[in-house]
Amino acid sequence: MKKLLRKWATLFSILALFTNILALLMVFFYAPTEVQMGEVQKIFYYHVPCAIASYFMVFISFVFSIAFLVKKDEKYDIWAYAGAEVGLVFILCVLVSGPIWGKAAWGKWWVWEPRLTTFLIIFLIYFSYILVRIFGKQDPKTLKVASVFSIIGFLDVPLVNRAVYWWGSIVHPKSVSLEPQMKLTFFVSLLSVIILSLSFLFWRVSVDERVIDND
Amino acid sequence: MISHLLQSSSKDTSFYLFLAYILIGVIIFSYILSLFLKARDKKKE
Repeated sequence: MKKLLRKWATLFSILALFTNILALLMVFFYAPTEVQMGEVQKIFYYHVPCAIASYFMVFISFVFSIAFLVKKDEKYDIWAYAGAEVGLVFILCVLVSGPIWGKAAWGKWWVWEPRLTTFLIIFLIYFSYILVRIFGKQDPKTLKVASVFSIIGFLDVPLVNRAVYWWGSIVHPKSVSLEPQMKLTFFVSLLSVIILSLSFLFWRVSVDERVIDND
Repeated sequence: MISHLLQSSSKDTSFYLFLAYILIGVIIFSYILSLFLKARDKKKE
């Protein structure tokens, strides 16, 4: 099991290295500079993919948390924990890059608008999840509580997505139209960040103390 | 590439751009390091 996981992790890591190098080269040397915001708009090419990767990872955590609660098998919890932890890493990337973009483009680090607030709630839920896991160790009750945290946390994702449509937003547009070069750069960045998140997920599962090398 | 740079707005925001990418890099590399350390600890056990 561990050997197979490491094989996938290595494959995704190599792919992630090359695609991220390509994405960064495209961000800095290929994508045109947006006229209104200037250079800082290029934060977009990692800010949005990191957000999408974090949704993907918390979705994995959500699915495996449900599977764990239903089947009571710890192998599902290993994936749920890994998904939540990797998701939190990308949530943190979004929360760090967003305010920097906001400060440069609109003069404010943070505004309490619906999308930012609901996204902060996701961060707080998954941060709590990690704290529960660290302090609760492998107690069966801890695993159940953490699974419930993960399920509740994921339910906030549709709220983040719809927040702009339901409650409006000062800084997030409902839709973005991109030049072809910008679109291509964005999709390469998205692919590179998704592959990176998958490599993290497989590495994280393979280093879990409950995964035994039985190959 | 140079023509793109000529299009930039009057406000120089490249400092913020580099700050954001450096901080994302720090978070990603910290996590990679933590995975390495966890793998090493597991091997020792």
